[in-house]
Amino acid sequence: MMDKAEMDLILGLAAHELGTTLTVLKSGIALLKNGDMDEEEEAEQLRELEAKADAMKELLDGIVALSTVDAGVWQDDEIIVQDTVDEVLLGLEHDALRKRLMMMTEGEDIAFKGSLWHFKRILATLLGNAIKFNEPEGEVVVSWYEEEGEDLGAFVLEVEDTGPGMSAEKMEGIFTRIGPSEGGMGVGLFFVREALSHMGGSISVELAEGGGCLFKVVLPFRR
Amino acid sequence: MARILVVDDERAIRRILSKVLTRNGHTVVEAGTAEEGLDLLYGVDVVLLDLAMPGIGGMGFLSAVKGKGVPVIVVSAYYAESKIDEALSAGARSFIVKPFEFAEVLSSVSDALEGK
Repeated sequence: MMDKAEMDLILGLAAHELGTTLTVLKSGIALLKNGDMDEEEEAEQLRELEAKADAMKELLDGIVALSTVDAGVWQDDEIIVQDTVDEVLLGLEHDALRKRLMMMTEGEDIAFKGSLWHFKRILATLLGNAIKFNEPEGEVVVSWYEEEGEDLGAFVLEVEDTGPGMSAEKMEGIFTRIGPSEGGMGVGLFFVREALSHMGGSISVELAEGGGCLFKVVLPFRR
Repeated sequence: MARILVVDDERAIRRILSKVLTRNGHTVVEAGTAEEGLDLLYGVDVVLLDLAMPGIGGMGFLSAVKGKGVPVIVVSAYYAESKIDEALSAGARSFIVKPFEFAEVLSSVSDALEGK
């Protein structure tokens, strides 16, 4: 459960981002309506508007996702990992192609019971970040396997990118920090941590051998 | 016409303010952080300042320029009264809430220039 301070932070962030985005949209449209921009300026202005609308969608998705964690909207679905990863990747194909990224999957045939909607959003957040923070023509590898351990063992999913990685300072608190960061709205990883903790799982990050980031999700199997 | 410093970490907002102000005959200097804004302060007649920025932020900028005689207009998406009061007590001349109207920005700049 989110505490009041976290909730206030998210509301404050949403209000601030809405205000900023509305300013860009409203003023940008007013400038375009004036009609005294040259073609290049117009195109640049439209790009700014589109980027702001995308950022708003990201924030909205994050807030909706977070609200479902607290509202306890959890289903007990059959999650077939390969199919779900493929579906999420298909939704991100456009962004990956735009950066000419190679998206790879490797994993065993695994299925488990859980909330499919939340699992998809976790995947979409991690893969979306791996695309957004990657270098052009880079790679994203999604892999998963079963890990033996106490009780029934666990499902492990890893997402590795070939981006510039992250300093130890940035890594610290990356799952608990809320607020805009370079290129993001700063709600996605917070949601991932909340959702996984609700499922009894966890997430960690380390630098990958190639210098990018390696995110690791561990979800204990339930009886 | 005046030399106006626009301090905002959102590039799109800087571009929009810059366009509107230059169209109205002003010269605009842009800064993406409060620290950069402080470096560009020389010869500036009015400052348009965002509050939520990385680093020392808008409040840090206000305390650094307090008493220097440059009017600062805060342009922020924070609409809470406490924030407005805090900025005004820290030396801001006036407060504009985002999303703003161009006319509101231009009249606040004129008022600041006329010392109203």
